[in-house]
Amino acid sequence: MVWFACASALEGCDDVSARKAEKILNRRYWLCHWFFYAAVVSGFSLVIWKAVGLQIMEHATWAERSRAQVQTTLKVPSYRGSIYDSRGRLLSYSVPQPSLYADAQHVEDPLQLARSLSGILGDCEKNLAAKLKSQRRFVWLKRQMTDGDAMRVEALGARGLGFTREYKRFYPYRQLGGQVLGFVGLDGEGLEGLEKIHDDFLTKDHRVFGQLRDGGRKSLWHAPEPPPQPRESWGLQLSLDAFLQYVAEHELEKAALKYQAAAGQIVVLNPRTFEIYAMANWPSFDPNLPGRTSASHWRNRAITDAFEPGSTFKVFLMGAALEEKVVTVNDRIFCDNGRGRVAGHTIRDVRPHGWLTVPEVIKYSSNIAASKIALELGREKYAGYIRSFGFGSPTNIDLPGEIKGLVRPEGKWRPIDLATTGFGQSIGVTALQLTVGIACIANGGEFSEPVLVRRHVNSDGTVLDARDSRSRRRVLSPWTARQVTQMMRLVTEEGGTGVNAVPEGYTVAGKTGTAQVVDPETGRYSSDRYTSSFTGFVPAEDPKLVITVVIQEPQGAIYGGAVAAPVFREFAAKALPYLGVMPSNFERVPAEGFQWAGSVAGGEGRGEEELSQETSRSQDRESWGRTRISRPMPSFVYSYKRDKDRGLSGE
Amino acid sequence: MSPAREALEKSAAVSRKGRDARETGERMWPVLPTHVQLWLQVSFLILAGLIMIYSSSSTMALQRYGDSAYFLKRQMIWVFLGVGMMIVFSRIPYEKYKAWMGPLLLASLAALILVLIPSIGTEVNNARRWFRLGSFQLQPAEYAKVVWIIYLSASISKKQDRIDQFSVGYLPHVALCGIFSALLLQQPDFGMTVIVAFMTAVMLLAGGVPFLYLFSAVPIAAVAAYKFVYLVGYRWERVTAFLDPWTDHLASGYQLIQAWIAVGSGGLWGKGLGAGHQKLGYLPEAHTDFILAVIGEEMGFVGLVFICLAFLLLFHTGMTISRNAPDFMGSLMALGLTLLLTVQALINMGVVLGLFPTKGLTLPFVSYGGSAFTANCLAAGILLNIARRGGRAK
Repeated sequence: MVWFACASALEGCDDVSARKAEKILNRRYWLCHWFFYAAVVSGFSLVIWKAVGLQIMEHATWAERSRAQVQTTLKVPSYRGSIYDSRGRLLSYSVPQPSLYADAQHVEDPLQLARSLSGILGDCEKNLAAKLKSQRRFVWLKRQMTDGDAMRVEALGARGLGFTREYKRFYPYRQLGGQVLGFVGLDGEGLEGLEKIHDDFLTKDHRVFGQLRDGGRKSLWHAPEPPPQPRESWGLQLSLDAFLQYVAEHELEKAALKYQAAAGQIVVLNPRTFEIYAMANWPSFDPNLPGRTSASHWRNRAITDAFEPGSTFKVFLMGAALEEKVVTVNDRIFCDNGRGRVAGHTIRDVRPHGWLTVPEVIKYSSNIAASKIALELGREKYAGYIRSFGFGSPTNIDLPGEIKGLVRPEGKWRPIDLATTGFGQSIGVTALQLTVGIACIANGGEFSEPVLVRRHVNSDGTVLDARDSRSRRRVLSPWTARQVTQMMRLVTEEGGTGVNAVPEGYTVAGKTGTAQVVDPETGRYSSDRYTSSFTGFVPAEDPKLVITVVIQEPQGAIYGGAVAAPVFREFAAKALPYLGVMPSNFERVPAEGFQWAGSVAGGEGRGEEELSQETSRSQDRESWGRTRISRPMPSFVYSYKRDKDRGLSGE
Repeated sequence: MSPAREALEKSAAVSRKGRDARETGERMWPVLPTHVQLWLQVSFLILAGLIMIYSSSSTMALQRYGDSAYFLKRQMIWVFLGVGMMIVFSRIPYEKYKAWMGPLLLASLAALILVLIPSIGTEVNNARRWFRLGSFQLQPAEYAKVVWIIYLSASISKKQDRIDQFSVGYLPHVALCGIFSALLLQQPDFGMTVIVAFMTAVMLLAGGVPFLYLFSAVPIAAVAAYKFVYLVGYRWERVTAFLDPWTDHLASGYQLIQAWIAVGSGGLWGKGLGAGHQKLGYLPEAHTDFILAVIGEEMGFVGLVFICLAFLLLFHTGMTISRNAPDFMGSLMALGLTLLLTVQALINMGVVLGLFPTKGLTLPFVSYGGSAFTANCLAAGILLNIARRGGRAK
């Protein structure tokens, strides 16, 4: 500024001298001239000074004010993630569906519109008309309708109607695993099962973006690409297998219908990983339409209902007694010929026995012997083992509503309670607890918590985190576990109670159970209501599956060996080939099994017999799972082989 | 030769060269002719204005008119018109205005009266200031103030020998100024009135009217200020808002605070061209009166200083033209026109930065707006003519 003044001063002097001859600029002009110079220069200095103050001294303050009023965030919600089975099959997923609403104030002819809408939606015309006449600014007409219906409604071109996009939950396998999966409400909130307990996780993956807003508080998306759309949230991959789940439900339903049962459950578990492969409930329900069935069907009884396990519980007693060396496998126990007095009460066996070896106690399921062993073991030790096997506490599975079962404090046990607990009465367990307990024996005595959610996955299927690291603890020594397993094998061998449980070609270790049910009205054991169960694992020498079948209140037959064991067999016969488990016991399978398959064309002795049996079975749709053992292979394989043979012989 | 001696000789040579240059009228550094300087300064401001008009109005134009270059295109038309006017007026000898003074003054008075008639003038925001020509609007007061300066310089230079007489040098001019002011206040256009009154005072002062007469006008101005500022609600509100914008930061103080946020958040280097946020509906009149705030936000302190420098150079050039004008009328006219441009710029900058209460004044050559722009081009064109006629080159 000073420079300007000086420079112009010099110039000014020049000019005066140079131009005096032509024009006279008076003193007043010069006074004003320099005064304005000074004024304007100081004016601009003032402006610059103020700008320095605002832009350099107070910059941080103003920048923060600017940021505060301009910046905002855009939260892009995500829609509910999918649930997959262990092989990636979709069990549950969300699909955007149009939902129709009305702004009743803009509807021109409510009655006419109601009539045409009712024709498309199939809803009551009166209800629609009432909604359209309500003068409300927003009223739902039909939520989550089909795209076709939406297009037809759009074609009406009526004023006052609008669509929004809502996400509808679909369960493509319908009733499959309904109680495990649960369902969601109309607004997408999880109401039952996995959907409920993982509700937060399934909708968690929302994204937040920074964006600007303008002076009218409206958001401005300031980026070259369009604003992000809602995307699918994280999903769950279960250990459940849709095929095994289907087989379990199918077999369970067959048995339940055959015996007119009140309810039934199957739990299938991998005894090495403790992953749940199937968890079936009967009666089933379809989570697509939860309103169609009564709310009691939504309950996952395998974890929410306790039952008295009956004789199946003897294996835990035996495990505890062997581990504590109260008995050895060579001991003999007198069974009072079917009617014994224990602790002042009479206990009966189904069949009278005299002396039984310890393994035979399991094989023939003697209540009297079990009572004696339990009394010998003592209540503290026995209760300790019961709790170690996981009874009396929840298994911490990822499902809502799990109960801990009923194990009364051992301090209050009378001798008769101890005795009856020995054969599985006066104790309450869930089907899942029972399965996990048996899995502990199958796993060589090592206990773990069951796993249902195997991993968290991204919407594109990539794994977020695997969730199979559960704490393990040893309950029995491997030797004891092996002893108990051997006894459980006896059960399924000739003369045992569980012979019906053995699928051809495989060995089974298991235990039947038949328990009386306490009548809630009288508080006494009912004479005609039983819980039939069979629990065990297969193959016995290298367990791949632990299966528990529980049928509540079967009619006609009551024994676990008759009601539940065949379900076990049918399931195992289909599940094991599916899992690629080779038969170990070839004695019961014809050695020339593949040769008779060729007899589709030729026909030959035993093969034909098997075949006819097969054909008759496939007529009642039972045998399709038994592929590897006895089903005829597709004939083209054999014709190819025979052609080859012929070719060879030709040469 | 020792280095010290060498340096001494060299400095002696330099000083000798400087003295020679002064004596011969040559320069130590090359200086462009004043009319070229003026062209460069005005072109710089016009270009900066076009860029900043596009930057500050594009979002709003897109929302309102569906074309982000809407205001840019319109301003381009004005630029062509204005530059054309500059060229034309730089060729008209300014002495001729002496003869045309009467008709010009009458015409502008007539325009100011016509604009007040409801069927002719267009009313926007309770002010009737514009003639509508298609989709464009013309504000006669902008041209009237240039005419008024031309008239004053012509009249004062003509009456130079009797300028100290009250009835000759003072009264007619003040009376005419009063008529102008009254007409402007009818629109109402208070900012323009202040400018006209201020320019009248400047011209009379430079023209040699005795101080006593001029000071006698001070009480009148004080009374007028009281009547037209203190007693008019919204104007007084602007003054209080200027003094303390935070008491009413969502209404009267809003504009100033938003301008401060814009300028302050720009910092030293600015947020970058086009990257400002305040134009997104926060800063009212971002492309017209408050375009300097957008410049401060996007180009930072550096950009603001450049604009200030441009105006300062323009002022310097204008004053040089005034000094070198061939006669007193030219000197006076150049002084008045230069000050008209500079003072408008200063007031506009002061308003944006909170040094003055809010006035509806644009930043010359930079702000969007047709009438003000072309009127300023008119002033620059006349200045150019005075520069060409006056002699530094000889």
